[in-house]
Amino acid sequence: MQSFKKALFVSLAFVLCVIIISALLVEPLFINRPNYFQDSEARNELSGTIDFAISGSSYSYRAFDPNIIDGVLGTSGYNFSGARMTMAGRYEMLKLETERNPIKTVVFDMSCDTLYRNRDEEGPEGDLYLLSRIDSPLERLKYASQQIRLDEYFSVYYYFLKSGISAIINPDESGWTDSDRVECRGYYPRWMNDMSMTAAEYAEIRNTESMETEIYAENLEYLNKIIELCKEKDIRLIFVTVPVSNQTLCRVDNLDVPREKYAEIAEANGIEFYDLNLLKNRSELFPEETAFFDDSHLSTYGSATFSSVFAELMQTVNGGGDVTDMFFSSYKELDANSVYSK
Amino acid sequence: MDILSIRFLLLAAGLVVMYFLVPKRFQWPLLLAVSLLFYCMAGVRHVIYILITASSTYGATRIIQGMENRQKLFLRENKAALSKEEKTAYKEKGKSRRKAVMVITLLLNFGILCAFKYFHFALEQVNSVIGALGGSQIEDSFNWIIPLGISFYTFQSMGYLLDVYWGRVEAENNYFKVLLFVTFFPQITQGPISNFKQLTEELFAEHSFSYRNYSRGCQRMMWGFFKKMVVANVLSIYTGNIFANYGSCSGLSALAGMFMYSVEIYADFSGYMDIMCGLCEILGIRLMENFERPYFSKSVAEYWRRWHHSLGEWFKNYLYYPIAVAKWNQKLGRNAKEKFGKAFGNNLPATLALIVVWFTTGLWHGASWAYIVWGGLNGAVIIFSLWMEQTYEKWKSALKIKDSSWGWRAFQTVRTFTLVTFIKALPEVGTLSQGVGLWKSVFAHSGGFADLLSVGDTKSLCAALAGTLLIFVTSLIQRRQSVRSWLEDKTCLPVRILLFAVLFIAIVYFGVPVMENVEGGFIYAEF
Repeated sequence: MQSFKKALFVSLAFVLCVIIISALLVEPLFINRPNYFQDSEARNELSGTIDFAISGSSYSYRAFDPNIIDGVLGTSGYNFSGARMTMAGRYEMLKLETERNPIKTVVFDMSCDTLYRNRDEEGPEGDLYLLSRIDSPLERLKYASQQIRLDEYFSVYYYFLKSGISAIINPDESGWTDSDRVECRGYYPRWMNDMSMTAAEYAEIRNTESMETEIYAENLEYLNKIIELCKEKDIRLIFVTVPVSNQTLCRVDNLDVPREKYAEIAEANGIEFYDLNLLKNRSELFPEETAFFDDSHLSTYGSATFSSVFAELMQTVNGGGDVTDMFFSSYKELDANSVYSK
Repeated sequence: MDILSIRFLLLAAGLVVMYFLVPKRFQWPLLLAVSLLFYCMAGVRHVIYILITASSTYGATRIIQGMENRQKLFLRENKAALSKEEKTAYKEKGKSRRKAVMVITLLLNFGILCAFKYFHFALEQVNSVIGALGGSQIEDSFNWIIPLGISFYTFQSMGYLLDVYWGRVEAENNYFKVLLFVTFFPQITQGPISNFKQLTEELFAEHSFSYRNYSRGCQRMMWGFFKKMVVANVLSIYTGNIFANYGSCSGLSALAGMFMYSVEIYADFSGYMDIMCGLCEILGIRLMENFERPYFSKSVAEYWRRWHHSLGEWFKNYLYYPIAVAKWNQKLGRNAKEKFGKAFGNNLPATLALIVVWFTTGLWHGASWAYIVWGGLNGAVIIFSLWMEQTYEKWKSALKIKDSSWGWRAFQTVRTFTLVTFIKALPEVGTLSQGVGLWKSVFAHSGGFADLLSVGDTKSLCAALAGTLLIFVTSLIQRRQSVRSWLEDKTCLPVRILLFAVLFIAIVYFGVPVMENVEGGFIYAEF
């Protein structure tokens, strides 16, 4: 028994030693906040003032500029989106922020793969970024215990060790300060790239890819939780699809599948749904030469236009106007009228 | 199951807890259950093959032992009634029956092994001949996965069978004990290949929890993880690049890549041994040591006594000695002595045995001409040294070289390390001609280390090189005493806890990112 007690004591001492050393190495990541997306302090500072929330992954991360939207709608917005953010992550963020902010509207990014991304295949990247944005160690542990898979524990441990050591070596890596993050309100722009193609190039990629059409169950589960949360708190939930470049629209042949699914969920729950890919004047609004960073994300220029267009759209809708005529009814119809189908 | 995974660590932790909680008489059945579970996780459909081996080994050893016992009883009871000739005839008849059972079982199990491992290679050779004769080749549409550990458990089981046949050990009556001997999971994928008596003494003894075993076992496991994840996996990125691009890389890079490979394979294989031996040590089970600082060897023969020791022992006991002392071989030696002199006559039987052993060793390591030549080269060096032994003694005496001199021992060690490095790299590139191409590139291409350093990141490489230095230093310590005893003598408990906590963090920091980029598991699991 003595032998066993000694072994237990030494094992616990070893584990404690590992935890202490790890904490010393990891905490600088949360103290120095060297990554541009580490906005916990910015959110803390704005806490209690936000009434307009944007939630999504990198599509909306690069698309919605709250400053522009606030200028048109008179709101106090924040873009809570994150790169590769899972549906569980979005729920976690919304749950936290709706508790400490008087949020009245949530604009929810429902891009083509939102319900179809498979967390088990994609790995923990999105959750790692979210964990870096959570301040409280207990909340981090709670989220990690729920979302991180058993096989990912060492990868996640490594990520935080590496990030913590980087934060010690280079505390100002990104050059972003908390006041920068407050000013940007969660929106992080990207530069532009010319995404235009010739007719021959479009012809080569046309309908060469199909979207995954099997919904990942966990995504639907958390979407339903988000819908319930909004209903509970009397929050207006709006589904929005962010524009992607013509390259994606031309290449993927079944974008109507997710669109119809989102429309079905929206109708069943009384939620507004606007797919801004289907704007009739999208070619003028989002020119391929300047509006995009890559085939799926808007550039600084594109997101400025998008944010204005979206805010004006909301203004019209809020004023009782009908915006149906602004949109094609389906991707099939968009396809028939697009430059890449000619 | 990948042992570099959290699932394995949980399985190991669960096993340790259960092992010491269950009544002692259930300890070995628990090991059997976990071993079968471990094997099933690699693929349930392959369990049939290991069961065939275990069952045929059990059946054959029981039959052979039964025959032997009945023979002894019969001869004892009829001692007076039978004449000498009748007794001899009866013994011969019994022996030939036992031999038949033994041979059938050997053929069955080695047949399964050869079918899985060598079918494609054999078909390739047949097709080469058919192709050369202008015929239409046989299509190779067989696509089967080699059962986990088949090389190791087949050798281990057949060793037991031969031990029973030769009367070295009595056959075990309990089928499940034989099953555990065959399937014991810590050694199923990479050995050591244990003998029945030595392993079963450990497996079936009752073990009590001991803090010393626990702490030393954990330390050893962690050292094994460090060697595999930080040293072996990192170096494999560099060696893989060099072996894939030897045609265009500089001579220095190729040479450095080969030496890195020597370190890599040692860290990989011995790392696995440390992990499994460490786990067994926690349970109070001592496995045979497979490595004894092999790169400090002064000859290739010594190297093979220190590297993968259990495989060498198996070949020595079950192939080399039977051939070397066989009557036909001894007769050949005597005839050779009369015709060509004493030295020739003495060396010939050993040489013939070594040729067979090294051909088989090469084939065991891989079904390719590259491995056969690899085995042949090792054998050739050993045989050459055997024949030149007396000549070397004369030269050393003439040059007044003392065996105990530091310079001479250093020369021998560096020479042996260089020789085994070159030979070891031959089959790793791919085909035989590619291996020779790698050797040529060492001497043919000029340039620095840019090709070698163009992959991977500096941080990981520095960690791997520091790890290599650490392995070297611990090997030096091990010449006098075990490293763990040395640590206990030199440090107090809190310092050791801190040291191993830092080691654990270093393993995660340097080892995890590489592990996720490295394909496949352990090198020797492929054999």
